[in-house]
Amino acid sequence: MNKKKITGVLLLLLAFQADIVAQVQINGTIDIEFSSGGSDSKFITNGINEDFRYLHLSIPQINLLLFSPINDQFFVEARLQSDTWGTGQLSTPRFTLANLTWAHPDKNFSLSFGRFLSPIGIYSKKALSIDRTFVDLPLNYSYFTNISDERGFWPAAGNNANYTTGDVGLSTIYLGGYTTGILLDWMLIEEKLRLETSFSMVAPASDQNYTNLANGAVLTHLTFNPNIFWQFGLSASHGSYMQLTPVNRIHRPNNPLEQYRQSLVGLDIRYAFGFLEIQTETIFSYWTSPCYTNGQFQLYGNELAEYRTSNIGTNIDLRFEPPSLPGSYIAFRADHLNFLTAETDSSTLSSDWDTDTSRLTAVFGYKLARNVETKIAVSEQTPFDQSLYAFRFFLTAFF
Amino acid sequence: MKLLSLICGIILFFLLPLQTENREAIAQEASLESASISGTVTLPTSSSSSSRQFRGAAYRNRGNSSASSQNSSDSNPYINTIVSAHPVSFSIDNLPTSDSVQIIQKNAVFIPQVTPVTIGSTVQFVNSDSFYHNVFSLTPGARFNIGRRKTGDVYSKEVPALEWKVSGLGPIDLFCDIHSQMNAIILSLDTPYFTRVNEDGTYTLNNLPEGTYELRGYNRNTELYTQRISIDENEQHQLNLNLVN
Repeated sequence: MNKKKITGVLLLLLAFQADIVAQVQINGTIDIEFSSGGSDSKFITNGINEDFRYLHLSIPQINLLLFSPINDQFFVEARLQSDTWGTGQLSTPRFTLANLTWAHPDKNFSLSFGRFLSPIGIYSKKALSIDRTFVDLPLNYSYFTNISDERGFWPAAGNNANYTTGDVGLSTIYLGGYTTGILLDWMLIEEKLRLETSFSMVAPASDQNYTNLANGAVLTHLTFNPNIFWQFGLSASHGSYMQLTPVNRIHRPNNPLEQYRQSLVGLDIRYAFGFLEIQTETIFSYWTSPCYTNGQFQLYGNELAEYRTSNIGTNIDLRFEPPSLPGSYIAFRADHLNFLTAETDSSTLSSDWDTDTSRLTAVFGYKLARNVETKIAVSEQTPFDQSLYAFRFFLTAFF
Repeated sequence: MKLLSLICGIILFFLLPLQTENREAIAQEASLESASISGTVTLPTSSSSSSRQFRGAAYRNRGNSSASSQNSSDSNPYINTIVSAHPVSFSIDNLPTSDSVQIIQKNAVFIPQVTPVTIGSTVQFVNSDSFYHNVFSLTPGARFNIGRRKTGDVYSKEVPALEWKVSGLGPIDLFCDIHSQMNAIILSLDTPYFTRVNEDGTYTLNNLPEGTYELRGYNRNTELYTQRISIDENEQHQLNLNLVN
C-alpha cells in the first residue's frame, strides 16, 4: 500500500471518527454472602449447593455491565457475569446479556437484537440483586422441575436427583431472566399500557443462549396501569425448548425435537401505597415432552412417547418500609408450586409428576448507601422440617 | 359623620400608595447602598455525552452519575451552581428560613437539581408525574424516607441541621427508590447570603453587611471553591470564580 492510499484510509477514518466516537459506561456489581442451608440442601430446590450448606462466606456473583450509546437512537449494552449457580463455585465469566437496541427518537418504541431481559414475568426484569427485595427468586424461577431440555419429562430429576451439575432439569422460567432474539418494547398508551414481545430462539424455561435445533418461541408481556396504585401484567409464551445433545441425538432422525413445546400464561398484580407494596404473580406452564425413565427414552416403535405435563406456581410478596428507619424494609413472601397430572396417549399418571413445594421467606433489608444494600433472609420450605431451610446474610453493591 | 368618613377615606386612598412608593424607594436606596459581590463563574467544559434516557436500557439507569441525570430543561450547568458568602468577622444570630421552597419531580427528574436553603427551612416535594415517586436520603444526620406519593401530592420536610458538617455547608443527597436514576441535592447553608448562578454564568450577591466572608462556589461536579474576602460598606466587589479543577 503506497503512502497516498494509507493517507486516504487515515483521512477516511478521521472523517468517520466524529460519528463513530461512542462513550462506554462501565459499571459493576458484586454480591457477598454468608449462607447456610438444611441437611437436604440443593441448588435446584433451596438455592444452596449441598457441598456448601454449612455457614460459609462466598461471592455468589460478580458482574461487569457495559453500556454505550452510539447516538441518540442506538445503544449497546452487555453484562459479563460470573456466578456460583449450580456448582457453588464461581464460574468462568460469560456474557449473559448483549444486545443492540434502536429506540425511536420521538416515541416510546424500541427494538432490541441479541440477548436481552426476557419479557416474561416480573422477576425477569430484576436481574440484579440490588434491584430485588428478596435474595432468592420465587419457585417459578428457582425450583428445577422434572422437565429437562435434553431428556424431556424425567421423573428422576428434581427432588429425586443425586446430582448437582450437568442436566438438572429446568425451572419454569429461566432464573437468569434472559432470552435471545428480537424484542419489541412499545408503550402503547403513555404510562398506561406497555407491550413487550420477543421472538426468541427458545421458550422461557431454557437457559440456552443459542439453539442447535430449529427452535422458536414467542414471549409477550402486557402491562396495564389503570391508576397510580395498581399495575396488572399478563404474560404469555409458546415455543420449543429442547436441545440436541449426545443423550437424545440417536432419536433425532425419527423425532423432530422441535415439536416439544412449553406454553405459558401468567398474571401479575402490584399494588403500592405509601410505605407498602404488595406484589403477586401466578404462572401456569404446560409442557409437551418425551419421557426418560430407567436410563432410556420411552418409545413406541421408533417414535418417542409424548407426555403432557403442567404446573402452576404462585407467590405473593409484601414489602413495608418503616418510615422511622429510612433505608430499611421488611418483606415476606409466600410461595407455592403445584404440579398437576402428567398424561400420555395411553395413560394418566396417578401421582404428581414432581413434588408440590411451598416456601416461606422473610427478609430485612437496609441501604448502607445509595448503591450498597444488606439483606438478611431466611426461608423454609416443604417439608418444613428444617432440612431445606436457607439462611443468607447478603451484601450487594453496584459501582 | 358620613361626610367626614368619606373625606378620610379619600385622603387615605391617596396617601397609602405614596407610603408604599416611599418604602420601595427606601428599600431600593438601601440595596444600592449595601455591599455586593458579583462576577462570573467558570466551570469545566462538560462532555458531550448523550443525555437521553433510553427506556429499554436494562442497567444504565442505576449507573447514571449525578451529572448525567439532568433533563433538557435543567441542563445548563451554571444554574445548578450556588455561590454563598459565609460571614467570618461577625455571626448571624437569627438565621432566616424559607418555607416555600419546592422541589418538583417531573419526567422522572428532580427539578431543580440543586436547591440551596438555610438550615431549618422547609422544603416541599411535589410529584408532577402520573406515576409514583418516592424521596429518600441516606445522608448522615438527614436520613429520611417519605414513601410513595401519588400525582400532585405535596410533602413538606424541614431541612435539619447537619451535625456532621461543622462548616454548615451540607449537601443532602436525594434519591427516588422507584427510579434509581433520579438524584438531586439540597444544599443546607448556615448563611442567608447565597444565590444561584445565572444561565450565562454571572452571579450577584446583594445586601451584604460590611465584613469578612468566606466565599464558596458549589457545583456537585467540581471541588468546592472557597476564598476569603473582605468588603467595606457599600462596596461593589467584582470576583470571578474559577471552578475548573
